[in-house]
Amino acid sequence: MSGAGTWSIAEEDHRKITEHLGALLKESQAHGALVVDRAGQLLANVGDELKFDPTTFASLTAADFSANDQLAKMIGEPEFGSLFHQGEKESMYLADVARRVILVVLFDQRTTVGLVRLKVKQTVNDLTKVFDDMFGRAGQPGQQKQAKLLEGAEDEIDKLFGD
Amino acid sequence: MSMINYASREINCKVVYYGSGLGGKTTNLEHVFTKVAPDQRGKMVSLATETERTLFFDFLPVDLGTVRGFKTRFHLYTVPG
Repeated sequence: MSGAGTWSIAEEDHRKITEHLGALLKESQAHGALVVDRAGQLLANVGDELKFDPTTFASLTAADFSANDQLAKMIGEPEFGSLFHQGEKESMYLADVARRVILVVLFDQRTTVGLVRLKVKQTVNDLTKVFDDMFGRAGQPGQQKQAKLLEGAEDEIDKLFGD
Repeated sequence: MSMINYASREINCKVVYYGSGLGGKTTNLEHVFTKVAPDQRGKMVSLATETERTLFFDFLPVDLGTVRGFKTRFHLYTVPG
């Protein structure tokens, strides 16, 4: 991971994130959990197969959270740490993680918002540690791998748009 | 900006259209949408007012194929205006 808005997620970090999400689903009886960054990129997804486009969903989730952050400021709150959207059958619970990413939990009538909220608290703490470690490593020597890949990707993209 | 996911072998790049109001940002995105093959693009999301002015943003994901084993996707956004 590095600054200037460009960052990466390593396989080991991804594994830790999906493990925490898997444990959350097991304990909360929710059917899906996603981690989305504040810029609207999907980082991880665990649970039932999604019936919607995850890319679009991630983008709208980040926009939703940003809009609600501004609403919070208007009423004198620094932020809303979590959001709950209730549907007739499907509901979603969103929680801020380390002010960097958003945890989204999808659930239905097989569980309750109370149980989901309770279990999300522990998962947010676990994920905060993972992301603090990830961002703490930013700029260290291991990032050279990413720089080389980006260099190669730029060449390939130039070729794609060359004609 | 871009995000590289080594686990899912994906590179996602964000491109934001910025410009004056009624300058053609959304129109440009709509043109890209019509020109890109359906299997290489996602759904175009447009959060607009009743008068068609962009209220929040427009969004279009475009799949560029594979670059060195990484599935590469562009996320095209416009800003309100």
